[in-house]
Amino acid sequence: MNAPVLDIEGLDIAFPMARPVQNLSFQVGAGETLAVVGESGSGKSLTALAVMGLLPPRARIAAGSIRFGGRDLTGLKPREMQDIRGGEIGMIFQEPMTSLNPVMTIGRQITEVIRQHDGGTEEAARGRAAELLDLVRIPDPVAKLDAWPHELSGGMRQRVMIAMAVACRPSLLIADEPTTALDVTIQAQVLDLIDGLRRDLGIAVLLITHDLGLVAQWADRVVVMYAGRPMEIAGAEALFARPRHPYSQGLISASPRAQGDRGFRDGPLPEIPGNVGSAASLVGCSFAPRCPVALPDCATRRPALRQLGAAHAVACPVAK
Amino acid sequence: MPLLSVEDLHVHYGSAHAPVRAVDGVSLALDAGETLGLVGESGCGKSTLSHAILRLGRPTSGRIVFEGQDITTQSRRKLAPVRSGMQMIFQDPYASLNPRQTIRKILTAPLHVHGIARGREAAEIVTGMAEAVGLGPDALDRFPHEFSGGQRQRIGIARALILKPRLVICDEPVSALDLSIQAQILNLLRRLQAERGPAYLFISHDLSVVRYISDRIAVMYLGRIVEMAPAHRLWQDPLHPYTRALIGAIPDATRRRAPDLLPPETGGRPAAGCRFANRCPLASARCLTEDPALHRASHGHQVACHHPGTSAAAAVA
Repeated sequence: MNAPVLDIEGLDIAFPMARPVQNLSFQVGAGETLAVVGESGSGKSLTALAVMGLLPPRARIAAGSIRFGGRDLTGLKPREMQDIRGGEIGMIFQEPMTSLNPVMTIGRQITEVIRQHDGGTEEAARGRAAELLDLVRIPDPVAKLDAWPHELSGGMRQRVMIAMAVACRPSLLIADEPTTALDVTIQAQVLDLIDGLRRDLGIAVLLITHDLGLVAQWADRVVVMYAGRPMEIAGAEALFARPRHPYSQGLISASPRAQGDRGFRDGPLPEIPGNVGSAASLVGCSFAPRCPVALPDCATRRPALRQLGAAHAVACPVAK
Repeated sequence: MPLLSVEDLHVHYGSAHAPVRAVDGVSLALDAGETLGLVGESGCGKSTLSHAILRLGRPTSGRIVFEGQDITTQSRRKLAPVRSGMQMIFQDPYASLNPRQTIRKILTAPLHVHGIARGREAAEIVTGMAEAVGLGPDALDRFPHEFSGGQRQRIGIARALILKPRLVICDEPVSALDLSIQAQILNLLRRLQAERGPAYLFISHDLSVVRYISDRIAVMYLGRIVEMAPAHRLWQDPLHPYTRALIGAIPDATRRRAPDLLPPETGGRPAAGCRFANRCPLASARCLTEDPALHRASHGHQVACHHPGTSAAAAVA
C-alpha cells in the first residue's frame, strides 16, 4: 500500500441503544481501490457515512479517529466538513436518480459543484462541466449539459454522478454500492470507468459493496465485515485464493458463482446456517453463533485482528 | 406433452398504432419437474411474460397451454381451478404478505379459497408445510414483520407450494436477500422440488444464480428470447453475442480489471432488423434489415442471430 490517504483507527459508531460499528481500523492507500464488503447490518454503509460526516442525527462517533489529508475528520465542524465533501472527497451512491435534482439540468448541477468549491465564472465552469462529461465518456457532452436527469438512462445518470464526484479533483472517491441498481452489462462499464479514473487521476477509491464478484475483479485490498466488526483484511487476490476467516470462507463458497459446473441437480450449495446477526448484544465474536469451528471461548472473548502475513489480518483464533 | 407451452405470445401496451411490445413473439415449453431459467436485463419483458402465463393480464395474441388446456382467453371463473396448479414466489416477500394476518392465516387462506381443506385437516397441512420450509411451529401465530427477510421468503414459498402446484414461477426470489441467506433459500427450493416435483420458471437478472439452479436457460432481450439451451451448454458455448456479453459482464476474479464491454446503451430498439443490432459488435448490413428468427443451432440449442457463435475478434478480421 502507498502512503494512506484515509486512515481509520479504532472507529466505534454508536446509536443510543446500539453500537453498529465497533473497533474498525483500516487504511486506503493513494491510487488504490479498497473494498469494504459485508451483508446487511455489517456496518459498511455507516462507515462510509462516518467518513463523509453524514451520519444520521442520532448516531455519533463514540471512539476512534478518521484521518484524511493530515486532519482528523471526527473533530471538524459541519461547515469544514462541507468543504471537504464534494471537494477533496467525492461520493457516488447506489441510486443516481435520487441523488440528482430532477428539476435542474445536468449542466447546472455540475457547474454548481464546481463554483461552490473552486469559484470562477459560470462560463468557465460550464466549459469544465463539458470536459467532465467527456471524461466519463458521455457521448455529445456539450449538448448533454442541457439534458434533464429523467432523459438519461440509469447508466448515464451514474456517469453524471461520477463526473460531479471528480469535478474538484478529489484524492478519495467513496462509492457506496455504485452499480447495485444497474444491469450487469452497464455495471461493468461503470466500474471500468471508475477504475480508469483511479488509474489516470490517481484517486483512491473506497468501494462499499455486498457483491463479492465486484470485489474479486476490481479491488486491490478488502475489508470483510460482519455485524459491525472487521473479520478479515487482505489483498483481494490472496483473499479469494485462500480465505482464512470462517465467515469469509463460508461466504465465498456459498456463492452460486463459486460452483463452477456444479448445478443444483448435483447437490446443495454450502450454506452458512442461521441468520445475519447483530453485534449489539454479543460480548464475544459476532460470527460465533453461526461459526462451524467456534471454540467455547469465542462466545465470551472477542478475537482481536492478528497478522497472518505482511498484508493479511484475521480476527479469529482458529484461522491459520 | 409439456406441462406448459407458450406459442408466439405477444403482450403489447399502449396505443394500437405505437404499442410498447413488452413481449414480442415468445415461444417456449416447460416439462413437468423441470427448471427453466429466464434471464435478461430490466425492461426485457421477463416479468410481463410471467404475468401473462399466470393470466394476470390478457395477452395481445398467441397461445398459452397449461396441462393441455388453452388458457389464453379463459374467463376468471374458468381460470380459478387452473390457478391452484400454478403459483408464484415474489422478489419481496414482505410486500406480498398481508401485515395484519398471522402466518397461519396467510397459509390457510389458499386452502379455503380453492376448497381443498378446512378445519383440522387444513391445520395439519399448514403445520406440515411450515415444517417443510424450515419454520418452527411457534412461527404460525406470529406476524410477517416479526421475521427476517430470509424467513419471510420461506413463508412466501410455503404459501406458493401449499396447493401442490405443478408450476411455480419464481420471480427474482433471492435478489433481495443477503448472500449467506440466498444459499439457504436456493437449497430450500432445490429440496422442495425433489420432494414435491413442481416445475420452476426461475426469473432472474443474475446469470450465475440461474446457471446454478436451471436445467435449461432462456435469454431474453427486448421482448424476445434470443437464445435457449441446456444450462451447461449455454455457459460453455454461448452462440448469441448478447449472451456472450452477459456472461462476460459477470464479475470474475480471473479477469481482474478486464471486463468485456458492450457499447453504452442507446435506448430503444432499431426500427427494423435485429433488436440487438445497435449494441452488437457483429452487426452486419443484413442485421439492420432482417429480424433473425429463433432457430435450431444444435440439439436443444436455439438462437436468434444471423452470425451465431462468431467471436467479435473474428468478425473484425
